[in-house]
Amino acid sequence: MNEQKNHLINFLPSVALVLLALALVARWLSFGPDTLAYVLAALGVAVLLLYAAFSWQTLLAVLRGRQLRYGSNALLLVVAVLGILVLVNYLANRHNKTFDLTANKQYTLSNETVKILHDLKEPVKVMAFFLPTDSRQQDASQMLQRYAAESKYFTYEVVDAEKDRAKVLQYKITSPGVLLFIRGDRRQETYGIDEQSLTSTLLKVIRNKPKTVYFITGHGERDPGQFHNSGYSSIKTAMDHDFFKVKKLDLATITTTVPADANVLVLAAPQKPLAKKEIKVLFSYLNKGGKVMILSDNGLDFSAMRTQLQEWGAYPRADLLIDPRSSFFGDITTPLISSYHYSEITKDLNGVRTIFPGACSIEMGKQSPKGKSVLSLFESSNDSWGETDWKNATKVKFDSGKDMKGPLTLAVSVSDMTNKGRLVVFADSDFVSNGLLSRVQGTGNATLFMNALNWLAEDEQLISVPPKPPASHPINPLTAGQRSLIYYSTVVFLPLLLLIVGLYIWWQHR
Amino acid sequence: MRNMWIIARRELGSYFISPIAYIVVAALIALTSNFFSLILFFSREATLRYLFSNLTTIMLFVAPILAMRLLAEEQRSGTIELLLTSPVNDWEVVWGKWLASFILWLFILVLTLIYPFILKVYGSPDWGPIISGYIGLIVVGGTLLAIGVLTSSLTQNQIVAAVLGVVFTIGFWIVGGGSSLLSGPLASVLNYLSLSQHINSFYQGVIDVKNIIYYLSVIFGALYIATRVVEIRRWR
Repeated sequence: MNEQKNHLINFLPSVALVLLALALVARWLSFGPDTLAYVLAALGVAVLLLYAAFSWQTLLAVLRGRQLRYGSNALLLVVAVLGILVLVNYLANRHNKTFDLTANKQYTLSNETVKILHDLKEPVKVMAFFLPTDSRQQDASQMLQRYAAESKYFTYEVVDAEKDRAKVLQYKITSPGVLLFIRGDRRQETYGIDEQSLTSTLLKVIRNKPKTVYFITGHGERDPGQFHNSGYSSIKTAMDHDFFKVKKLDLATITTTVPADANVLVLAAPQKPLAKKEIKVLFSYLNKGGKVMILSDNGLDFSAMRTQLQEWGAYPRADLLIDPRSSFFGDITTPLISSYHYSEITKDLNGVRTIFPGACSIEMGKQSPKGKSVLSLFESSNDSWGETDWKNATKVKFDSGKDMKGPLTLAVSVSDMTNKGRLVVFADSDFVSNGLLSRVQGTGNATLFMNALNWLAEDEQLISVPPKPPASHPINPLTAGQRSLIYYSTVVFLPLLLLIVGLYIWWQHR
Repeated sequence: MRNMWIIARRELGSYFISPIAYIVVAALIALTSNFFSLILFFSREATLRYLFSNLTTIMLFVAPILAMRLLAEEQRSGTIELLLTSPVNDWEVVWGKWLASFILWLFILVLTLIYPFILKVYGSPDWGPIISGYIGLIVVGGTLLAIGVLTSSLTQNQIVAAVLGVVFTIGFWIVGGGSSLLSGPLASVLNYLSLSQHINSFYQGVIDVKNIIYYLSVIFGALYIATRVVEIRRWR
């Protein structure tokens, strides 16, 4: 009887261990509250206490015995050794060395970023709001760690946007996955977690003076002060939010050059052609390293500045883009774009839709003009065309010889390698009008515009931070046979071979 | 040092003649291969990053099983007395045992080289992250095995050693998760202790010397404690 009882008691620690293990597994697997894990853990501890209560005599003997005396000696030694290990780790952390083995040095900060971080004089804190299921969280926190390692003023915190509702409300976060840069009362947001996104956001938040954007007036352009449907007051709010100062400029009033504080000039859908003198002022600014954004629209006439625009590799045609394949709710005059070429302007837009009501198409030269890099940002579908005879609504069909066949370019970015000038040309101006932004929710139109503006207004420091497109190493498409070969050779053949060898050796030894 | 090798060789020999080891390794390879194929067919990327993460998770469970017998069995059968009274240092016994399981782990990793080979045939992988990933697997596997050796020293029962080992490895793995509930220095200490906080950069393609130091420290610490435990048990 007694022996049976002893057996039972000796069994208790194993039961406790299993319970504790289950508690850990439950804690590990569950996403919700951890009640189950706590109950299991409490049961495990209770069983252990039970064991202690039953076998207190044995435990007492151990405590009195020689083992403990030597044991406490050993314990001291163990503490000493662990202390040394802690010290070694502390030193290793202070003097870490990193080797980035990826082919394009994906995880190494550029010298420019490091310099910006070393020059920090005021604390900047980054709050990264992620859902626990977001796979970008790990990468983001590692990236932020690299930034924090370079400057004691740079700190960061990864916030669980699901559990920590208080912080989400406090910082007025509308969508998770955002990184909020905070310096004093200044804030900047970004959704990108690559170096260029982080460094440009950092530069924006430490900037003390706003960047100035001049909207050209005098030819019936879009007006950032107008609140009606065709106005640009909504996008102006976004510009204010991103620390831009928006001003207006009549080119006819200036004699020599554009104001010195201009960071970007915007020419948004002029209804009348610009005068020769105005064109000269605009392009001499651009050619001397200025930054210009031009928004066209269907039927607008840019022929007065055709030569100058062609020198920059992007000329808006006076046609109407028709896209029967990819259009917004079947309106063939509103192309819908959902895939983009990789560029600084479009990198965070993949999978996001943008729409362009009544756009034209943009003519790009066969090759980039000398010293300039011209990039088509996105195109319409293969079935689209540029309708030249668009005023005659009954005859909307592709006429070869007259109309350009798709895919047609809708937006172009150009950078001048020598003088650092930058130009962005959009084939549409309605895409960020008040009417569109208020009526159609959930498009990336405003983001696209702001990305383009930010790219134009980018600091010289940032221009030398090289973009790092996410490394992709696709495999060749696999046939069904190749798939089977891979699957069976690894999942079945290799383990089977091991088992056969094992069986053979075991047989030999028996 | 020579004794350590002798013990490692003897222990390795008993791994290779035991059918259990073959079954465990074959099951491990089958499971890993399954992950490899599914990830490859789904992602169509010539990368092993996600496979390495999965293999590490599997090792949380398998490493204690591979190590459970090492010291527990000797204590149960009483042969540890023979070992410890022979002119061999205690640490040589413990390190030798660990070394045997570590060499078995390297052998498993050699078997997994078939995956990069397949990637090479059907695509052009970036070799940097694969190399750093294998370095990460080598050190994290050695660490998990050292924890297994430690729990094996604590008991005579192999099953208890394995269960305790899994509790330790998983506990050590997720301890950083507690940092979301806490804040301040304790959170960062827990975070630093966590085995999982140091492995991901290896799989991305980055080798941080501090991470290697961390894993070597845990190996050294676990085996040091195991040595002391073996010593204490000897005085009974």
